[in-house]
Amino acid sequence: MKRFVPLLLVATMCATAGAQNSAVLYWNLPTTPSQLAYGAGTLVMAGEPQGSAANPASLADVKWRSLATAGVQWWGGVFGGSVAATLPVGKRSGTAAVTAGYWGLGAITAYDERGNPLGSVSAQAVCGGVHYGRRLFGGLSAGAGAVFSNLVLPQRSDLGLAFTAGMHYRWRFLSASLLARDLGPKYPVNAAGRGKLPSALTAGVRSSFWGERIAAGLQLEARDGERPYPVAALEAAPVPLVTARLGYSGERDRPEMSPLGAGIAVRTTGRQDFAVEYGYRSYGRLGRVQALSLGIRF
Amino acid sequence: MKRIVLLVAAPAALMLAAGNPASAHPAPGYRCFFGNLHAHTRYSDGESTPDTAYAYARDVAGIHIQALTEHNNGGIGYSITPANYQNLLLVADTITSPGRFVALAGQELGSIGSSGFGHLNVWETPGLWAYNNSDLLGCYSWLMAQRQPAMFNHPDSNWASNFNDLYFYPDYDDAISLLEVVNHNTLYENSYLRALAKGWHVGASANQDNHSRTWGTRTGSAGTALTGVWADTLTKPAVLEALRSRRTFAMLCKPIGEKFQLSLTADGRWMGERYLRQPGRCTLQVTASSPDSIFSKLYLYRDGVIADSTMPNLNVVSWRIELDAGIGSHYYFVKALQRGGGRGWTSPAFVEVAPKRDDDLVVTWPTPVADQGARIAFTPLDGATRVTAEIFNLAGARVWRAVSADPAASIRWDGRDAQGRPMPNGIYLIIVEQAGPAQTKTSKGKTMVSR
Ligand SMILES: [Zn+2]
Ligand SMILES: [Zn+2]
Repeated sequence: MKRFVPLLLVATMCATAGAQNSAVLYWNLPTTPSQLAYGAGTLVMAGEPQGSAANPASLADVKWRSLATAGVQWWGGVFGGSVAATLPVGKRSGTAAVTAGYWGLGAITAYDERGNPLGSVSAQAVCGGVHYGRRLFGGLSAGAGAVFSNLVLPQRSDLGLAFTAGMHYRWRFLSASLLARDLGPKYPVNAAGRGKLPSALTAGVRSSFWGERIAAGLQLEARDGERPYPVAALEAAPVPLVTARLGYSGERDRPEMSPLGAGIAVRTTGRQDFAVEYGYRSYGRLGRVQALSLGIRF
Repeated sequence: MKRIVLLVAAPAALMLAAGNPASAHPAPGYRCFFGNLHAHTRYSDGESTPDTAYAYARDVAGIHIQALTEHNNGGIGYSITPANYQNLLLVADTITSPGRFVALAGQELGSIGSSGFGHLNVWETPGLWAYNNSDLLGCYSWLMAQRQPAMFNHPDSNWASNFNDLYFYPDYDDAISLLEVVNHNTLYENSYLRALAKGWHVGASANQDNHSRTWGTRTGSAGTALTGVWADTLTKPAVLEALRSRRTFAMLCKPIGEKFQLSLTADGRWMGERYLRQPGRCTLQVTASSPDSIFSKLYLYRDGVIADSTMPNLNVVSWRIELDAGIGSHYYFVKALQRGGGRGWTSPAFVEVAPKRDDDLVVTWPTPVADQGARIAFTPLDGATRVTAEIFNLAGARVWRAVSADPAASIRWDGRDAQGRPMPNGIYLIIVEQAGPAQTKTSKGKTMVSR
């Protein structure tokens, strides 16, 4: 049971992360509470044995079926929802996950060049993906994922496709992660290429203390064409079954985003096990973002 | 001749004082000068020399502004040579005498042949355009860089390209400030309406396109074409500023020599201006004045359609019109008819009315935003001295930012980031901050990019 609860969390986060980690909206919007709290630091924090949620390699640690759903309230009247399921393939064959997500980007008034209102237009996106991870040998595991997205606009739709590959290594209370994400063809794939996906390379380490009651992670995120920036994350379980989260992001090209994010996770244990998580981050003048998720393991 | 001098001496401010609308932006006083902005000498395909032409316009025609706009065909045939152009600039500067006469040196670009985009005038640029008649956009961007007024000449839709059928490129809107509503004896009123309907911000001009020794006096059956220019003073910088600001009117004088004055203000702002306001009553003020020719009818055009008219039967007219300014971009101009056959067209006042109800709302015109970009429309804050507009993508990254010192000026987003990369389709957030001495106002809104 002691190992079980963290693993449930892995499943939840891992799976929902797939819906996010994509060309979905080209912008990599976080959808899960842990992603809001940790920012890009989710990669390292979700490891050991919580697994690195953003890293398909961590699926190697998931040995149970799970189902999770997450909702995020974005600023600007935008919201997102996702469901995810994990399925261990076989005793030694690793674990697969499938994800599906939806983003409602809201309705706005259309205008002509002279400002005459032309009624309302809306935008939405659907996305999905498959992910797979398995142990290679010792503490080393590897994983890969493929995601698609379809952004539906009044006159057209933009299809996106992206691939992720990750590695994960565990040794006692230390773990290390490496992830290359958003590799793939130009976005969108169904039209004249408008731009390269903003692919990123992330490397990080995590360490836990006092029997997993406190964990800290540090990573470097290098996005295409931008200067790498550090991300730090801290997690503490002051009382059993409750985890508090804090994340710091050194990213500079989002001037309104607060460098700090926070979150909390509460778990129940029993015949069927639930996890409820909440995450929050402020985006200054743009608004705030909050996410809630529910996970069940069976 | 004497009458004309008298008229010119009467300051515009005085004439407008009677019907000056109550407004936060009172119209400054400008004086009306008469000019012929399109003519040739033997430097291209005309007759005689520049100094003779300028002197003739000044002394015989008795006009205030004469431009010589020699053909620039890239050296082919009668095209002006670079050396002659430099000489023309020199002669124009020498003969210009502030307060008395302004001589403009210019070039008439392009070709009206089967592969040509048409003819454009530009005045007082330091050099000649590197001729390439198939490159209309290259020409527009060269004109933008010159920062001098330019004009669509005799824009005839029967001709080959006619500036790609006067296609409106928002990025090059500032390249052209005037359109020849009259070229000698031919009217291009339809082209004027078409250019405005397509989105160009152009003012009205009427010129003689002289190719023989008639600079300022060339007269056809329709009358004598001249451009009225409302300028601060009769100096070259003031005249160029007036042409750039479209503070002009096109005039066909009939009978010969019967020049008149015509002006239009909207909310106290001069014709040619482009400004933002809130919905509500908009006051237009028209002033027409002639020494003794009677104005039989004045028409107000709103967005290309006659919206009002009056039959004053007077030689001095002050016509005040109040109308509701609906949300959106509008343009108003006035056409005047005289009993003797004289005609005039003012430049338009470009009024952009932003929504009021949602005071803090920012939108883009058009929405969705495509390749031609969009204007960022918001409710202006009175007395603002600095406007900052920012565009964020959904991830919160700021992809574009613009700062303007003129709150009434139009701010356009081209749908690209600061590096010029087109932004992917989707939803974007706009924040506009207007800072004034007393307060700062923040407005937010969403837009959509979809190409
Ligand atoms: Zn011509
Ligand atoms: Zn000509």
